[in-house]
Amino acid sequence: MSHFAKSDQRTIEEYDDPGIQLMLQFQQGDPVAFASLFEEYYRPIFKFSCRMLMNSGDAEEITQETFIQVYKAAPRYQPTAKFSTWIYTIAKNLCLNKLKAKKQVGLMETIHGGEDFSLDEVLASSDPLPETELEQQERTHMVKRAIESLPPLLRIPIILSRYQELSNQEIASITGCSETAIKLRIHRAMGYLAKKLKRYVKG
Amino acid sequence: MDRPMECFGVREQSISFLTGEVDSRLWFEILDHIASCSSCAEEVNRFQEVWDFMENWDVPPIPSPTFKNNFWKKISAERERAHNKPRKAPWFQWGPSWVPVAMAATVLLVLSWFLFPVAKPVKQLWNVDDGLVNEVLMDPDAVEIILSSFEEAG
Repeated sequence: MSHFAKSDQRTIEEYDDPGIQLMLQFQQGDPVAFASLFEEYYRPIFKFSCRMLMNSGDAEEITQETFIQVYKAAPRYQPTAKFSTWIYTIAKNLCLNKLKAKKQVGLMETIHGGEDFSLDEVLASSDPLPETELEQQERTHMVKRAIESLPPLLRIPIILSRYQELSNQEIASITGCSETAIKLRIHRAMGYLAKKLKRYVKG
Repeated sequence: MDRPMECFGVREQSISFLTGEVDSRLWFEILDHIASCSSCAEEVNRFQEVWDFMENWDVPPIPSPTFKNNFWKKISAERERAHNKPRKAPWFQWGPSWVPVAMAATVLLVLSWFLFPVAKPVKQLWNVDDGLVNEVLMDPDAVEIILSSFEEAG
């Protein structure tokens, strides 16, 4: 009998969250449920990690590590929050650890020297880009640079809100702070981004 | 028109307003406010533009082609590692039961030191030297006198 079944009388089907249902099925020994979880969530976790770490190689590593932690945590898993909240919390913590480790070995060198979707590389490529494409690349680069310059405290809520489309309540659960604090952090981040991107936005 | 509290409230809710996370009552309140407050209207418009402009930052939608293969290899290794994990020796499996017993025994030992102190030797009580003690104890009369003095005192 699973740990969950001992502490909660609800059956798997009584949970509305498909992520929780799959996780509980996996906990009870169904390996296909884990494969389904992976298929369902690896893309959003990868994209979130890409935006947090600014590097798709690191993002792949963090995405894999996130699911390995999910795999290892299955025997003691208890559905206390939405599954997406839980898995984003794991990914966020791994990203923060990665950022700290990178900072120790020279974050700037890694980001500006090793990034795999930078403007510098695009400009250095031999094929000249059409003007509109070049402008698009520049806009991408400017947004990326502006968000990259935010401290993690502001970067995490803005990425989760703008790109992962999570609610303030869910972001508050992931980051472990109040919903009001999240609203204020996003507000601060937006004010900062507006200043950084004032060349590109009319307001 | 000076409405600091209202402006603060609107600014706090401005992102929720953009993302549609506010209920219809609050949505109309914000709309009413920005219709008559130019600074809040300016901020909401600016944030809307930044919010839209952020759409420009796209990241690779999927990882590299080897990603999944590498992941399942790692899971396979994890399964293998968990399967081959050395089992605890039988004596170690008692851990949860013998650890508290050992701790309780230690506490009892320490308490007994204070509750039942060991009797101190005579020479420490009266601070006499070994030679004198031996001399007294070897003299049967002296022993007799000491014992009778204890009986009198008792």
